[in-house]
Amino acid sequence: MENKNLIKTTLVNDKKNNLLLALKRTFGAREMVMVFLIIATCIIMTILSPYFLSLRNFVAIARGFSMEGIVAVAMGLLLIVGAFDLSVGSVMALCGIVSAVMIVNMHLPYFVAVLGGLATGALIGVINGLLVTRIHINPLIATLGMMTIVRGIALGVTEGSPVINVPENFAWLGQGNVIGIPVPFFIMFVIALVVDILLRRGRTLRQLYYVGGNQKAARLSGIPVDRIILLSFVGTGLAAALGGILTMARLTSGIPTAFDSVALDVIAGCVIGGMSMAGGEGTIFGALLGVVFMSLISNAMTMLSVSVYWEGVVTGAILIIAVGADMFSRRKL
Amino acid sequence: MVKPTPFFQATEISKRYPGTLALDKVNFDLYPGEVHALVGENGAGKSTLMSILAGVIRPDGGTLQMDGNPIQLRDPHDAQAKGISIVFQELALSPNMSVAENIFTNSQPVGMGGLIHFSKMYDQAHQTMEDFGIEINPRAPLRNYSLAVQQIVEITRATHRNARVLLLDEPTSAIGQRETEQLFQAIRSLSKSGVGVVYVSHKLDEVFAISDRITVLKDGKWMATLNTADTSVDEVVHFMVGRDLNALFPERDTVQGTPVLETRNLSGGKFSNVSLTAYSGQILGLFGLTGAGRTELARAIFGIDPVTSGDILLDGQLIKVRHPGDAMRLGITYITEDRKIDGLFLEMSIKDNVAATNLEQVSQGEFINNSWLNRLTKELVQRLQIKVRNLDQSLNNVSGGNQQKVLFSKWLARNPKVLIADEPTRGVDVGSKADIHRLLYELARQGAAVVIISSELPEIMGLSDRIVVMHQGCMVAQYLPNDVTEDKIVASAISVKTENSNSH
Repeated sequence: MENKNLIKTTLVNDKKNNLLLALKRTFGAREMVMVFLIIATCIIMTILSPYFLSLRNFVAIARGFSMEGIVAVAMGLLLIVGAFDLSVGSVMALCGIVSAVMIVNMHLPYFVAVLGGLATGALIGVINGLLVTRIHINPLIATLGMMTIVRGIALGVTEGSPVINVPENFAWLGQGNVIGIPVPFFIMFVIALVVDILLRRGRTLRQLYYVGGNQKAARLSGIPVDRIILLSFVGTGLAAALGGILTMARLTSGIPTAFDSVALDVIAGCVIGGMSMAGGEGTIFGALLGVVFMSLISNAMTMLSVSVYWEGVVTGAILIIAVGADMFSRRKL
Repeated sequence: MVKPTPFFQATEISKRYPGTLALDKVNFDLYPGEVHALVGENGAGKSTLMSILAGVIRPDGGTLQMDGNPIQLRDPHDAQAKGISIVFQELALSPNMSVAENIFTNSQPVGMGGLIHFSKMYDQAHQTMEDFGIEINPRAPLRNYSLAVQQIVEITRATHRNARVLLLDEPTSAIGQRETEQLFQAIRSLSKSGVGVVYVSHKLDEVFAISDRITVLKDGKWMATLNTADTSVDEVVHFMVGRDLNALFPERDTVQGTPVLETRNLSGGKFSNVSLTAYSGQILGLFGLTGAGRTELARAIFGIDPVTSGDILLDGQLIKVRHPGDAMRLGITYITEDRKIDGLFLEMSIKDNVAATNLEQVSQGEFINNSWLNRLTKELVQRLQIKVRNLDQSLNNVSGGNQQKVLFSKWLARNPKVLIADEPTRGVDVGSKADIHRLLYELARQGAAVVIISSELPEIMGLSDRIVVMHQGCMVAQYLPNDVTEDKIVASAISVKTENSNSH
């Protein structure tokens, strides 16, 4: 009986469904919601604060958000696979320090220093990936342990104090502009665009969805599951390293205590933008919109002079409401 | 044995599921202290009857009586309170907790202040297991012990609350022969104390070793209740399978093929020394009971599980398969027995499921060509007559039969040289079943070597050009379908010796 009714209603809805599907294919429902929320927040803020709608404020938001954006691209890939990486904040700190030390103390060429930082991040990614795929340690535990270890190394190497006096001409990477666009934002944009397209249309990255959707079925479909998970961890390692180096350039110093909330902030942003902790879902575009939305909210609260101490209440509530609303809408379907 | 009157009776029990009558007025009764075996082929209704007796599901018709009084079972808890306990095939134990705690889940002896009286619990656990002839350390974690001991722990837990009826569902499916004897001792000592045991098993040799009476079900109907002492394996098998092959299967003609896939003395996790050959243009049927090692053999050939010794040959060439990707490149495909667990991406669309195994085919260099993918999927949907609303529909909203067809389509698109299909029609409706059978037949006649693994004898008999029977990891017999009866195949699957079973 129930079955028959179901078939009838689905037939009636068929036309509407096709239109929805067409929209979904280009944008995806969640991305639409995020774009709407971002625009709405901007409108409300323009009314509430005279300083909000200015090029300067937007450039500041963009610059601040870029490093997290780079990490979010990689974290998004990892979430699609069905894992996540808590060590990114520590990796950002350590890799910034590695590059800074190579520049300041060892006087190596800039590109060697950058490569050194990136290699450190990639190496940590490889270790995370091996712990998860070979020794079968849960990603939560593996990257939690790695987070603590890497933070410990960063603090140990520097004895807790920042590596300062990074030359001004290196700072361009973090502070400079290309045709009025902040360099970090430019780098983030290019990475996000390439990865988003490859994830939508490329056959290599497409495999990530299969691994996250049903790991056993993916294995039986001939998809190299372990290699893909390992490389996704290398991805977050590299992205965190890049984010750390860019921040180091921006501040002209490597700070061992920084970035301790980045991992959770980025994961929260990705989930708000449509990713699932269970894997197999979401897009890079959506994840970035989630991170943008969160930094917009944070900027808005600063503008409205809400105390930073209260900020967590709002961001936490947004995360829970977003996921809760998603669960609710699915149940109806 | 002196038998008074049956104390537990099920009369004219019926259960209807959409599309099938799972049980049709089945009668079953139990005397105190007897072991009453329940046998039948897959789908005969054994599990349904067990679930009804244990209060897991409710019958649509019929009555249950205990000591002559009609009873209603609301749920398994209620059944337990009325003295009926069930031990399922899958154990519900906590392997990290101690043996004693597993036996006394929720009924630990308590001492002062309501705290658990551990020393008393350990003593009692030790005593209970000793009664079954098993020496254990009640403090040790349960995972230290064999599956047979765990099985007995589960039985102990079920019976120490004054159970009068104990239902055992395939208790030996996961344990070896020597451990089976241990289990039988436990069952015998239970029945001696007056407990009535219902024993469900595929393995007729065990049924004959342990039971006092045997009831045979077939297609949801009661066929016979026999005294074990007065009957024979042949008679029971005859009641189990005596049926006609229906039109589910295509007309057969014989094809002289060439060897495509060969295994030579192949051994692995749960099979050993298997030497079989699959010919082009033919269907090879692999029959056996659950746990006979057929799936493990297929998984090893496909590179999922490791091979410990022996060779695999393809077109006469030795091949090395390290993972499924290798097998696929060589033209070997394996369709898994459980589409939900490791076959399909249920959250994804039909198109995405097809793409999973055909990414090279639908890509131009690195980029997936969406119109190629659409065309390929459309072709498959037509060829297999898959009923879907559109190609982007998520598989969650598709019927079992159509899901199974999607599972086939993602592999057929690769034009396999060898296709191994594990339980190709499990849990699908009759219409889809016939479609899938026709498909397998056509595929073979177009030149592929097809291997089907099935626990349904009619399917094996109706489709296979040659039949190989496996038992406990070994190949025990090889037949041509025209030279053999269903009875004989079942007999070799449960390894009862019959004449003429020409072991290769």
